[in-house]
Order: sequence, then C-alpha cells, then structure tokens
Amino acid sequence: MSTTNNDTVRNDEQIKNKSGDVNKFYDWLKIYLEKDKFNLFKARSKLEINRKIEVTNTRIQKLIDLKIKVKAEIDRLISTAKLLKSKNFELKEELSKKLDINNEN
Amino acid sequence: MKIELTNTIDRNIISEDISFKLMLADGILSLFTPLFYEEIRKKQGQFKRNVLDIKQLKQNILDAKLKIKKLNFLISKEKIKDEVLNEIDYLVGVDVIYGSNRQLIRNILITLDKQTSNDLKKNLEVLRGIIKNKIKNK
Repeated sequence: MSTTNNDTVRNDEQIKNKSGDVNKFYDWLKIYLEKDKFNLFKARSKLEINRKIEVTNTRIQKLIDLKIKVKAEIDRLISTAKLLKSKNFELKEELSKKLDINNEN
Repeated sequence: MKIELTNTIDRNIISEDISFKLMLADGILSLFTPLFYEEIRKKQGQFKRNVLDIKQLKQNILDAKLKIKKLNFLISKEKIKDEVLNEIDYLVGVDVIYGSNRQLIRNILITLDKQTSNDLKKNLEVLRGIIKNKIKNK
C-alpha cells in the first residue's frame, strides 16, 4: 500500500514537473512570438521599414508643401515681371514719341 | 497549453514533449514566414519609390529656385529700367532736350532692352547728374 502511495506521489511529481516544463515552454514561445526575439517574423525589420517609410512620407509631404510655395512664388514673380515690362514698354514708347526718336537717324 | 488535432498532424506523434512543441512551432514558422517576407518586400518597394520621389521633388525644387533667381534678376533689371525711364520722363517734362543730352537720351532709349544692369546703373547715374545740374542752374 505504501509502495503504491509512493508511486502515486512520484507520478504526481513527474506530471507536475512535466507540466511546469510545458508552461515554461509556453511562456518562452509566447515571448518568442510576441517580441519576435530572433526576427523570424521580421517584426524588427518590419518596424524599421515602417519607420523609414514614415520618415520618407513626412519628407515627401514637406517637399510637396515647399514645391507648392515655390510655385506660388514663381507665379507672383512672373506676374510682377510682366507688369513691370509692360509698364516700361509703354513709358519707353511714350518717351520715344515725345522725343520723336523713331523718326531720327 | 492545449493541443488541437488537425488532419495534417498524425495523432500518434502528438505529445507533451518539448521536442514535439519545437517541431510544431518550427512547422508553423516555416509555413507563415514567407507571408512576412512578402510584406517586407512590398514595404521595401514602397520605401524605394519614396526615395525616388524625394529625389525627383528635390530636383524640381532646385529647378524652381533657379527660376526664381532668374526672375528676381529680371525684375531688378526692370526696376532699374523703370528708374531710368522715370528720370528721362522728368527731364523731358521740365526742359527741352537738345544737343549731347538729347543724343544720350536717344541712345539710352534705343538700346534700353539690350543694356546690362551695370550699363543701366551707369546711365541712371549720368541722368541723375544731368538733373542735378539743371536744378542747380535754375
């Protein structure tokens, strides 16, 4: 009877140990999968490439904004240049007429 | 940890052993990792396209800046022309222009669009000198 009891205790102990091993393995696997410790799921690579894409997207947006500003500035300068040219052309024509320059040699 | 039976795994090989768990995990990993690689490959493609876009945008902005520089130069030249014409307009308005002054103004008006900024500035100074003399002599 005593031997049987001892066997049962040993079996329980073995099951407990085995169960403990399985739980340890489960915990390890959980960390392994969640943190992708060995980069098997490329989680770190994915994070890194996502960060790179985010940085480049921000840079692209800034450059697009700058391009829009520069384009607006070009349009403004073209308009100013046209206005000045037209004004100068008219004044030059008027002065040439006043001084009768076109009819001189 | 609960083990679920599937058709692909033989009922007889399922056990609570660590080696079996490792084998199972390895099988799962080898099945799914290509999907993660594929996603990474797609993201790398997007990143490469972003880098090219940045390069193109930088070139566009550089070209636009050069255009702005040229336009600013053109405007500054037109402004000097404007000043020259205003001085001539003043001279024509206050007195009859004749002799060397008339010849000078004539030359300035004829060559106005071909003159460099420096020439225009020089002519502007000459015209201002003539105006000063006229004011002194009055």
